[in-house]
Amino acid sequence: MERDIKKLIEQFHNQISSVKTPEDLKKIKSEYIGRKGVITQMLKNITSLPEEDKPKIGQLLNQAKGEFQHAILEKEKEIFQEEGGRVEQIDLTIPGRNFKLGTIHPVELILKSTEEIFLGMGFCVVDGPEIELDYYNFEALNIPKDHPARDDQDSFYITPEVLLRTQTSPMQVRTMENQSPPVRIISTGKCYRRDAIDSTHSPMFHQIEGLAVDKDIALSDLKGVIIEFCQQIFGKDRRVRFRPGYFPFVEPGAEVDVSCGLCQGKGCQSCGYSGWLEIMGAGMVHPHVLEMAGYDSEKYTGFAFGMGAERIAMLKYGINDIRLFFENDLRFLSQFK
Amino acid sequence: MQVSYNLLKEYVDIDLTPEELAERLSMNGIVAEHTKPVLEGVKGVLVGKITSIKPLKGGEGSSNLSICTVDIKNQELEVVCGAKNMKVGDYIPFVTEGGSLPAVGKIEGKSIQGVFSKGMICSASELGLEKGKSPGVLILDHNLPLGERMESILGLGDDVIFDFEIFSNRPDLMSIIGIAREISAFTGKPLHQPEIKITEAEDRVNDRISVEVKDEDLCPRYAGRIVQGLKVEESPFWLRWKLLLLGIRPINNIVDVTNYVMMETGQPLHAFDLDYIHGQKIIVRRAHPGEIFRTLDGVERILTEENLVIADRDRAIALAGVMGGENSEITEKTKDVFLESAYFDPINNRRTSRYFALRTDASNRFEKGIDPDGQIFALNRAASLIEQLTLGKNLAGVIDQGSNKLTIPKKIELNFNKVKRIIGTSIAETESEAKDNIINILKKLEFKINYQETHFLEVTPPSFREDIQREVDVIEEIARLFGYENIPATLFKSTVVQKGRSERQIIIDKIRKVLVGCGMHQMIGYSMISPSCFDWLRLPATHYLRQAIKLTNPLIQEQTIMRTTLVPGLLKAIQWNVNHSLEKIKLFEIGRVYFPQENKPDEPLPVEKLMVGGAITKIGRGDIWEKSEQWDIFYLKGILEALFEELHLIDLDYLSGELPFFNQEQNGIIKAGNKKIAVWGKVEQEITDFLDIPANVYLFELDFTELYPLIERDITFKPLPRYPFIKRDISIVVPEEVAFAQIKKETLTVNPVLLKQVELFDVFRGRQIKKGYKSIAFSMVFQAEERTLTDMEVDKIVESVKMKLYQLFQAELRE
Repeated sequence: MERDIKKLIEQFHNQISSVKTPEDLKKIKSEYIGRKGVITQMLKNITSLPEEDKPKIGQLLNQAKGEFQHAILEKEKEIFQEEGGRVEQIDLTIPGRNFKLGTIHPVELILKSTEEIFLGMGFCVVDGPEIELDYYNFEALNIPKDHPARDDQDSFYITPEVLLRTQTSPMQVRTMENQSPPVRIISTGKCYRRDAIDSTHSPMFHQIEGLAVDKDIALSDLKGVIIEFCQQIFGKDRRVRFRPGYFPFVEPGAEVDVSCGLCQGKGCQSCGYSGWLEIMGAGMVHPHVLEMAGYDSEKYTGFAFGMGAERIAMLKYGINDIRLFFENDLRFLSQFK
Repeated sequence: MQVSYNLLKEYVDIDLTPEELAERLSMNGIVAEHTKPVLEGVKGVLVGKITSIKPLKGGEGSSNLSICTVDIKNQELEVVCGAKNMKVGDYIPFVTEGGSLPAVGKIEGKSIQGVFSKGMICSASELGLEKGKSPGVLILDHNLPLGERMESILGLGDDVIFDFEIFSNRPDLMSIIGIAREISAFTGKPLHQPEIKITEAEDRVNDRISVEVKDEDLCPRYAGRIVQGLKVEESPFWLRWKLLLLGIRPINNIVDVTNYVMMETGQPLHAFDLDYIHGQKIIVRRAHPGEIFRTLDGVERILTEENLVIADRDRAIALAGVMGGENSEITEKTKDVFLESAYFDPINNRRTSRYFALRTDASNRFEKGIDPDGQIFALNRAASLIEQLTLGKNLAGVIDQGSNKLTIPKKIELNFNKVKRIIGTSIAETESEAKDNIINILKKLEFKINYQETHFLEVTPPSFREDIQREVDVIEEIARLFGYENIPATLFKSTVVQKGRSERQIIIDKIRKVLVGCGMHQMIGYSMISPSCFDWLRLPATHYLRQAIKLTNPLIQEQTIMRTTLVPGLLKAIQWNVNHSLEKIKLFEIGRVYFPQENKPDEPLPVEKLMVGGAITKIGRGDIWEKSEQWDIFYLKGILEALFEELHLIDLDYLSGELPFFNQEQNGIIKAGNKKIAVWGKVEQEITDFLDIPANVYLFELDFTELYPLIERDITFKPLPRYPFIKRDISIVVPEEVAFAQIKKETLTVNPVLLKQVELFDVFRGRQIKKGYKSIAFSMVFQAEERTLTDMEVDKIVESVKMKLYQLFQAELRE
């Protein structure tokens, strides 16, 4: 046994002295001390030796292993020096194996960040049907069949009583029918209007709806909540302005503007030289809407607001054409990291 | 509602600049969508006088043109003109060489059929005052200073035009007086109502005509007057100019007066030629079914009982509140006129105008609800103007049917506390100050304070404010005049604990994140698609995916039904990206699909299902690393497996499917128990060829509704193993049809306690393997919970595995 080991050592030194290339060195390395190398194997088989031989043989083998490792290391240096510039160099400027992540759609980004902001203010997120009853989409929102306000929301119908919702506001009514106050909800999703496609109109778009009803909710609370939202979405430096507005399901009604980010409110082409950008409709829930949903309008008040997610995304990211959202061009989508 | 700054100034004192005025109005809810100088883009237009007109002779068919000489004070210039409506002595706007017009641009002299024309006589549309093409040149007033630049004439060229957006609940603002009244309310400056001066003749109107309203519900008020012995001609310049400022084309003095008074007061009026009212009788009735009536625009209309008409003894003479008839139109020959001022039911009026797709300035006001008490004022104002302009005589008296029915005053109680509760602030320092402010605001808005108590007051809104119905409407008025900008911003006084996001929403968000992590980009496709998608997806006529919901009024052919699958949208998006030279495309969508309700007749709404779809394709070689990475069916499966793992979905069966848009061999469904949760596969080449996609597309669609209940969200920690594991590799040769899943399953059952994992590491077909067979290499991991396994134990199990695989699949060991 001892002799075998000595022979092995001799053989090793003979072989390594003639090695010239890293490949050969690698081969020798695995032959002797690799996972299936001779020494490794012998060390494994040591258990089958007679008890009295074990320590000695073990020591010898381990010495040999150490010797081999050292010799291989020395040879490695030698080869490296000899080969000089010919050695394979690692070019760290080569791109890494890519782990490219995908992206979330910009409209979704707006929906999610809006939800987050309102979740932080104690709202919860609810979903509702996109194909809706005329009742919830219009009538329960104080917009009866022949109301002129229907002109602004030309609808796609499935039957005379069923349509693609033109706004997320039906969720106000559905929520109030199922839940007693206090209510604080946010609801987002697709809406549809019979508008021909152009750079600012799309027959399909997304809305964000909010509703809060309780015993003591006032117009001033709406202002507070909306200013908080706008400044979180657009930045603390943006100003927010409330103007009277008209939506049949709120009274008093308001339209909300934020100061133009491009011109800091001085007036430029993108804000129509007004310094302001209109971003949402809002107001105090009309008592008739509360009553139709079964709430006591003397006891409870509330506010509601609604805005277009594409509009918010366009203003936030500087997108100039609504059609880009639905072309799903990767050059567009992949920018929203 | 278009109106000009100077015009408003005639009705209310204004000490704000046009810009300041627009800003103030917008903060009060009247937004000027456009604001522009009246003669925007007009340069070098002088007041000229025509001194001669002679026909231009020359080239063939050119007799329409004439040569005019125009006096511009210091010189006379010759121009060629195509219009016919001017005569010698007329004052006209004349643009000289070097001047410019908004639509035309810079004016240069040019030779027309041998005559050198040194400028141009302008029409209203050329000056930018009318949208359509004007019928002739604009004839100016003789009192204008000859040779003066129009844009610098005070009161004329210095004006500013506003185009106000009027909310549909404020038809009272669709008038000059309405807007002036608002300005007066928030500036405190006095309002100037127009003057009415009528000298009535001795003959009584009642002797000349009688009015019978048959359908009082549709026409609660009908008033009229007769003006006799008038002459129909062009209106004086001041009236024509005002109409242009209001965006209305001047026609003749009678029509112009009715139009102007409508714009001034908001009350639409109509003038009939009295001679053509048969039987000296006006009947307001529903149309007979099938009654044929030709409106002023020359279109013959077939009426129904739902349409209200103004008729005489024999026939309809107007479509009530929408448009008059040709049969009683005012013409140059008209001598006597019957003037109508009525209130028509808004809903019926709206239905009629929508039915005929005939929206007019009149119907636009009637349908929103005009002042129910404004008929007589507007009628008298028009009668007075006609008298002033035409020397016609008003007959004595006014026809006024049903006068009282609409004007029962509303009484609304306003609680002072409620004002604070809704607005969120007391609008003054002290309570009594707040009360004073409230009363003051309401008075400015012409509300009547009926009486006042400590905590509330009772008010009657003015008749023109039909939108004020209840307390909260009054509170909005107070907030509006107080100024929204003066309301503080507060946050909720109360706190509520809500449940935040639902489980379902959290899982949807997780799916989105995992797919993004797999390098996929989220897309959003249209919910409306074309049924032709089903054809190129090769779906047979009865396929369930074809059972789509149809839109009754689609907008475009490509979007007529609601999608039942995300697949066409995914493929269309891939096609788009391929067309734009993108090479590595990985898209996913999380969106709804829609199916008709099948077994629930009581449920009026269709089924909406949330689906998760994804598609990948790679065109070309890819970069340094990617060239060796295949985007094939297993790449797609890798994404799916990653997703399922993240959702803790286990025990899924991968079976073959039969969707016609997938390639026969790479066509899978995934089941959890008996629930089909997904389809996946390689898109049939015929389809990718049809879409001009030059590479294989792999696609999946998951049914979230089926998936969701199976998802385990809780994480339970398992202690780490205390004893080492032993790993053994084997390689077997089996017939092609033996699936790895079978091998794995059978292997695991050999010793379910110790055999923990079976992992594939190679599949090989080649020269060493006989045809119809494949080599499968996998490793097995053995582990015991309570002790260290011995090699001998493991060897035994491996032997049993080999034996079993041989028995079941004729698996031979490969060395």
